[in-house]
Amino acid sequence: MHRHPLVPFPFCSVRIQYSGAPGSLQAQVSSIESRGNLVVDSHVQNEGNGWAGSGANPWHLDDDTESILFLTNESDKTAGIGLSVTANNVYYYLTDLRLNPHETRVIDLRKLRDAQIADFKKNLIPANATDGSVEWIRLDNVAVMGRLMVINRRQGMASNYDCCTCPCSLDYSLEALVMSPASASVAVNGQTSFNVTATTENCNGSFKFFNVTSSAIWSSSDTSVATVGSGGIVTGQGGGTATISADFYGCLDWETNIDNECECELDGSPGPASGQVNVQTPTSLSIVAGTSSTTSEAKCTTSGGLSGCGVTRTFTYQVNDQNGQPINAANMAVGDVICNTSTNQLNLQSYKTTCGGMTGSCWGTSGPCGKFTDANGRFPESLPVCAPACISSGTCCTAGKTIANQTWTVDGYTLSTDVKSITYQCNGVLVNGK
Amino acid sequence: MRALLFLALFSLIPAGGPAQWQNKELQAKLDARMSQYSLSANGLADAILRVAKQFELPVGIEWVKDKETAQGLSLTWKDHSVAAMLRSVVQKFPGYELRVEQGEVHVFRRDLLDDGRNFLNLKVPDFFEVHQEGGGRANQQLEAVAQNIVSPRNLPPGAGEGGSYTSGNVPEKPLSLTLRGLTFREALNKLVETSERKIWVVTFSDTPVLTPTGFRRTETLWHPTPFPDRDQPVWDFLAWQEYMPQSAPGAPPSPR
Repeated sequence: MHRHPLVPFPFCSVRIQYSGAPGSLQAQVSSIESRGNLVVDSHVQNEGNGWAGSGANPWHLDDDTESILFLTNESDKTAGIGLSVTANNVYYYLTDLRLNPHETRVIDLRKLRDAQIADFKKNLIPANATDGSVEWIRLDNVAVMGRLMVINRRQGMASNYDCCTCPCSLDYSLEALVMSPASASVAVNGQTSFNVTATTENCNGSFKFFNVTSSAIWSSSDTSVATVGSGGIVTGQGGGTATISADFYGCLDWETNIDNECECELDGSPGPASGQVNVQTPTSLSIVAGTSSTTSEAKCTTSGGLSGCGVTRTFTYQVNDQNGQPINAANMAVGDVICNTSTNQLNLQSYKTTCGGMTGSCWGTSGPCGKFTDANGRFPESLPVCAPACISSGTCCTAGKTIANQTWTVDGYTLSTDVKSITYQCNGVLVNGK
Repeated sequence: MRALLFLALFSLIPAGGPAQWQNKELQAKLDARMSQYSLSANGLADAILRVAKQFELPVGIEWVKDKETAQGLSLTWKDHSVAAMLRSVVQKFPGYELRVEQGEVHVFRRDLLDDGRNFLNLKVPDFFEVHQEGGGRANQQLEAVAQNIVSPRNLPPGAGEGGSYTSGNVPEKPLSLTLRGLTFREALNKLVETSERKIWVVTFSDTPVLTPTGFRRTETLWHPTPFPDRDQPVWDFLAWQEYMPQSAPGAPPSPR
């Protein structure tokens, strides 16, 4: 293309027409700025070579070089894109890339690399990678133009690689659905979420992945254990295990018809993906922090005004589920009931409890009363004792003990099989003898 | 009407005293203007507590839970201050008043203030003191002391006490306080002023039947039925995050 040097082009375009078979043309177009400061070198390849996306385009990053991918949806419909970046034998996938009608998305490879955000397979683009390839496919039957520009500032040259505005042939297939995580735990009334990713494969055997969580059809094997809503949000309903399934329908096989158009030969699902959800119910408590060390309560006073002495033991409880696993859930309401047993050498006649009140002849109520677990399903407990019986000749002594049973209720579940034996002594408090 | 307005405005003027700096901080929160604010609540206490939780206002409430005060209400304000919103809530309940005093918003039924049957007007016994205890544990001890006055248990000589206490999900710092000479109301204000818990609520039952010792019976925001005589009085002492409107008052828990 020749042009008079004094009249600048505001823009220009190149159209290449040819009569060969699909996939038989590769062209290179070079555009040189009049002073020779900028050369745009463009390789063009049509879609007829067997895939509806790019080939592997090389990217490079250094102090003078940037690599930027432009993806333009040329249609009036939304276009899902499967995209992979390869570097140092690592495959990194973007699975949530969806272009709005006529949107151009700019993906700066340097920013993508430096963000160091793991993909759905927990892969990262190596932080020190300077070279690699980028590859994409369109997952909907709409025209998408992709262009990778590798720009070297010092050399005044930009290269780009593009392809793929033709509708045919869209030769990739929906191969499988993958659920993540494979299993999860959630408390009753709590929520967790699953994701499902579609695996697609093109004719070269190259895989791309696309997050289809929001458009999948979700189901639970046991809604009395867990329910699942759109978007894979799972809500625990009752203790036990349920299988969460997600199905997604797409084209399993594309074919090119006699008009050289793409048609879906076989619609369907590659089969649902599934994961397990374990719904946790509070069943037991374990002590996870705090020792047998105590704070002296010398010269303490009972609520009736009697002088005594004693100690307070402080520690932290973890709420565990029916399998002995921690329930890491916030805001589980806790309350306890304390009952005297036959051993009462310290003459303890009343017990203060978390929620106050009395249940039958025992002290305390199951709650709720505004006391909740922290984000890890834990809560601290102090066990104080103040007894005039601990005073002998005006000083604190260590004689005697009183044993009581303590039963906790957590989030409405009374832990009746995990009754704690509390031994109040003048010089220490034991839980289950420890 | 003008007199009422004057009374309402006057009642929001901060009182002096040692908590004056807290009054300033509180007044700034009360003066904050909301372009739009909607509130749906299950009665007087729930309405006040929802606003208190949202704007982190220290509050003390002494109310009688009856048909009127437990009735649901739904209000929307445009370009109102937080103080004006609270004022309009309280004005919906005849006999109730709102004052800003001792660094907190105090909502009360007027006749309870000097009612001899209201345990809040009793003095805290001289022996009671808080030594290196968290605010919640101190409140638990204060409640036990009040119960020994209102519901004496006639304990045998040398009776001791044990128990348990959890601060739940509220980290607490130890406090040392002298509450000697204060009424229980003033003691609760002191605990609100110094501890991490910023809400006290005394809920009186709507019954003419007094405790055997002649005190008004109480209940809590959480417990669906009044506590028996032997447990009187009871009250709620909460941090802002501990108030769960969807599960109180009286409903089964659904905090998450």
